[in-house]
Amino acid sequence: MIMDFFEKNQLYIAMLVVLINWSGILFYLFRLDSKISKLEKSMR
Amino acid sequence: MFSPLSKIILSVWITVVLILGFAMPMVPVPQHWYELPLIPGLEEKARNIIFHVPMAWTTMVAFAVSVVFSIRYLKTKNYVDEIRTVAAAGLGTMFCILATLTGSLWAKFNWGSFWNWDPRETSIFILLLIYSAYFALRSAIDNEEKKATLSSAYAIIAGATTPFFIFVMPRVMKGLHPGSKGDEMGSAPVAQLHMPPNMLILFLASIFGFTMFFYWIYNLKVRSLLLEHTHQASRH
Repeated sequence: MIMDFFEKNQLYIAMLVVLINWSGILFYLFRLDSKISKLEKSMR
Repeated sequence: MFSPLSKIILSVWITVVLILGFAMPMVPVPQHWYELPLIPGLEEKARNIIFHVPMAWTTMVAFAVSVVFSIRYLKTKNYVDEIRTVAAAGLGTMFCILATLTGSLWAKFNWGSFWNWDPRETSIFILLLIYSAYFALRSAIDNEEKKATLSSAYAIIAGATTPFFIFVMPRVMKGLHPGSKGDEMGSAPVAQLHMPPNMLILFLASIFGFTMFFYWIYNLKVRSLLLEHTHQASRH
């Protein structure tokens, strides 16, 4: 069902690819952010 | 490092690449500069070239950076080089995972299943294992200097295998991925850069944008690791 949708609307496959890239980069940035926050806390 | 203006330019650059990657219409016979060719079999999925390939490219760049700094560390024993190696290897692994995931999604719709053990998929999987072993090695050693020396030596060996797994192995074996052995037809726009100029410019702009984006995040990571190192040194 959902596969049929993507077969018919292939532009959404490209959108999913960009979403995967974006979530990966955001995940990395969030982890980096929390590490820096912890570091700031321990430096205080 | 990055000036505030260059960060804004880079952000706009990536945004424009993303928008054009979606917005440029695909037609069977392009007549205008803004039209992309409709490649039979790939159709709209061909847009993934602009979003998936830069991930693999950035992986390659990141691992190359880690090799350069691991060699420097072994020469100078300067902890900054060690930190740069770790940051590049970590980001390279992240981009490698993204290249694998996006490739796997594309494979589902072009090759019929998420994972086919195609030489390209096998080689990137081995590359992921090699770099997982790098982080396993680092977490297994307590002594900081020993950890840095051993993992730098390992990073050089790991980095040396990267061009083989990304460029050589998938090209000398028969497979589904464009650029495999026996893939003579024009289905290899990336492997041979056979694409119309407007698509090529967009593709190269994407490669450049993501490489710079990598460099930006890499800088953040290095700076945070340096801070952590200084903080730990001041406590001892």
